[in-house]
Amino acid sequence: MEVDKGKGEAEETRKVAEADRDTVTLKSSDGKLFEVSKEAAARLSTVLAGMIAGGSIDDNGTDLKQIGSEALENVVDYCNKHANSIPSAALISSSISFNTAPFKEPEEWERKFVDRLSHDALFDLVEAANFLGMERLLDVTCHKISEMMKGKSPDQIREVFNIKNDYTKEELEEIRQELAWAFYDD
Amino acid sequence: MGGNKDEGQEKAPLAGVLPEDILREILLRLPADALCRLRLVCQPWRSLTSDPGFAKAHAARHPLIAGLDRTRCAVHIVDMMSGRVLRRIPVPLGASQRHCTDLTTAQPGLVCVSPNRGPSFAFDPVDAVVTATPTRNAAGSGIECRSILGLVPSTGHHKVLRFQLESTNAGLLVQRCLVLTLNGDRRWRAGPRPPVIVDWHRSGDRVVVDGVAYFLRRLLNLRDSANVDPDSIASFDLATEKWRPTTMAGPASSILARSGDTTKLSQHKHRLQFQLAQLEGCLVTVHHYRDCSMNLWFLVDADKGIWDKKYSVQCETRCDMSHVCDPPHPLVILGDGRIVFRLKGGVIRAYDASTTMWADLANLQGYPVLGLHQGSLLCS
Repeated sequence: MEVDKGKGEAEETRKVAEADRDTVTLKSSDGKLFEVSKEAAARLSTVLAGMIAGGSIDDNGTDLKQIGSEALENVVDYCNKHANSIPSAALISSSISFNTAPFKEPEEWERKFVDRLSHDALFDLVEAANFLGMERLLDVTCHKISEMMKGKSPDQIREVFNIKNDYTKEELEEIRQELAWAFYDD
Repeated sequence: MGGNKDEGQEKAPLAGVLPEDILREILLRLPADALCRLRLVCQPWRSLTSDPGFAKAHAARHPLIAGLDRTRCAVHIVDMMSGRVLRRIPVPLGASQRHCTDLTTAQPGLVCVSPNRGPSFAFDPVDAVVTATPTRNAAGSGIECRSILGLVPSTGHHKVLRFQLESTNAGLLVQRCLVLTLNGDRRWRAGPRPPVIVDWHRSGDRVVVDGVAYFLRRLLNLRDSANVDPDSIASFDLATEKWRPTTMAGPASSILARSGDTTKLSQHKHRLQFQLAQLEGCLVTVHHYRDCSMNLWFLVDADKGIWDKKYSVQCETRCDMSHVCDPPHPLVILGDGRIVFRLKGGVIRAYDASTTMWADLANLQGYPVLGLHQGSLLCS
């Protein structure tokens, strides 16, 4: 007992410190560490909220093997910005009827936040948001991608999304004929 | 992870860089015309956006309006949230038909328009293939041509109702009813007479809910209006083609009856105006008050005549007197709980009961007649 006392105390101190800390440390797939407000992480991400509540947060960096450092940096950045921005009540009410509600418009700062991202960074971020159960960030990123798709030709869309054209010329013409109404210009 | 190679390869072509569930979330945000153009991208995108489940989720988030345009010779399908016209469908009017006077809609995605005379036209805006109702046969010779469309849920058929008011030699008014099964034997059948003379001209006079067409009782003259309850409702079962033998008491007269009040509703100090509507699959009676407020009563139990006052709505003062002649008509309840109304002249506004705030959605003042389109432009 005597021998272990020092270690035990240290352990105790560390645990207390962890419980008191108002940030959590997240580790990207490529091993980079990021600190994020515990309150914001728990409020914005159902997955992180579950991990915090379940005590599976690692003080030395919780492994998020599915998320690269660039996307995680954006996630953390978003959480920290959000921490000072919107009251949680607005978020709660916006997420209740997520499945059928008309989409909420992003806030000005959220718009700016995603506007500066490249296509690839945006795609990584939308996947990270989906993985972490961050409904609001998923909303904002999906909104941005849908905006980005507007007015693009099928060729441009295929390039951005890395999709192969699997139609014949005849099939494309058939669709154009069938849906002629959608191809009118107002 | 290595074992999932095949799965990964199967998924890869669909969304390209994105998993299907995320792609779906993104595509759900785009309007129907943009989604139809995106079908040119690749076959998996075409299948995803043509899928009935996707179309249903899309329709819930992008409600559509079907309206007669200013010329009354074409139907427009309009995005309710933005007012943008997505599809224009000309009505193939006959030589003797000047323009359309009425429009009704039915699930799934059927629209029926009635010109000033002659056949009515029904179509699904997805393919816009128009079916004309047969010209009237011996069953009816009146001049009234408004057709009311409804779905029979048990069979999936659509039926159309028409009414005629005729004077007998004795000077009595008689109301006849004609029934047609769309895509059936193309013959109008003489239906049974309604238990009372009903109104059927305006959208608030009639509504079809779950295979039953409901009508407000018509008040023929002042003496009549002093003796009958103006919120009485007649109901016609589209499947059996039978009227319920008696009218159903509306919420206001039910309450008066229950409270033992013997004064008739029409003599009551608050003069009311009534409308029928359909919200969330329920029959709704809207009570309009002189002070521009309204109560929305939902029918909970038709047999017992139980109504539930779910909403009390105060209009903004700007609709003032127009409330009496062109009262707001509820169209749909959005996923976020807001109730969408068509206001004076065709302005579409949403009412948030939790904040009692109104918000503009679209200005459809160019549309003399409009209704909620109960379908999608993505698949029929």
